[in-house]
Amino acid sequence: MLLITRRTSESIMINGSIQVTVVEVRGGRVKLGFEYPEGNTVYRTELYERILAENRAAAEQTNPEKLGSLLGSFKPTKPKEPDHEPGNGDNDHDD
Amino acid sequence: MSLATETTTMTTETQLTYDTRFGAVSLREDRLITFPEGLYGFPDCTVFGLTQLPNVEESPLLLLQCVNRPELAFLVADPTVLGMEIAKGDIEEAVRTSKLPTKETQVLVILTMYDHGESYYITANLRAPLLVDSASRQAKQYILLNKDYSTQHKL
Repeated sequence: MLLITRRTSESIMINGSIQVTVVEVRGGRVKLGFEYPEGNTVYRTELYERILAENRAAAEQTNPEKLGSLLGSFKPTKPKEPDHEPGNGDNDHDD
Repeated sequence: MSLATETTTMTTETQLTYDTRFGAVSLREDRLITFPEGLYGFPDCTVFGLTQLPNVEESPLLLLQCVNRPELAFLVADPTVLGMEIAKGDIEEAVRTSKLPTKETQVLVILTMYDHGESYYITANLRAPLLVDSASRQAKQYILLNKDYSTQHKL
């Protein structure tokens, strides 16, 4: 791992186009500023790892038998039959 | 090596068939979707087909079947059909940043079923939707910057 010491308001240049600036250092926390060309992505590592884990879970954990019993509750929000009797009050309210 | 068997129909459309954990599915080769960077955690999975769930009628849930690794399939859905919303502005920013064509982006979210024995439910990953350009059939999984979207939005 490359180690570079920087002070507040000093920065680092990566690949000639990505600039990382130390904005603030306080109580064991560092606030960093990133300037980078569109098309690059910058995320906290924890978020990145959460997305990886979620994708893996999605690929592995779905149980087809139990899915069948859940499918009934996932009807499209717009009912297909317009002549459906009104007033049965079964609209979903997802929060 | 691949589980896929190819059969050519009268109309010269090539169908790829797979035996998934949800049942047998068949993909049209000319309708495949390319994720040049793969999905997060699956960088080698770059070619997918989108299909109805086998043995299920009129479900808003679809199956995203990987062609590179036939044992991989994801449950996906259009979030609006499930009553979930990703704001237009967030999608526009995602499309712009990911350098996809901006005209006909279709948004899908990956669903995960959590199974704790008696209790089981489905969550949607609203934080990292799939952006699919329906014209070029190029796609990308994009992590939204907006913290309001959960990776496990319970349905």
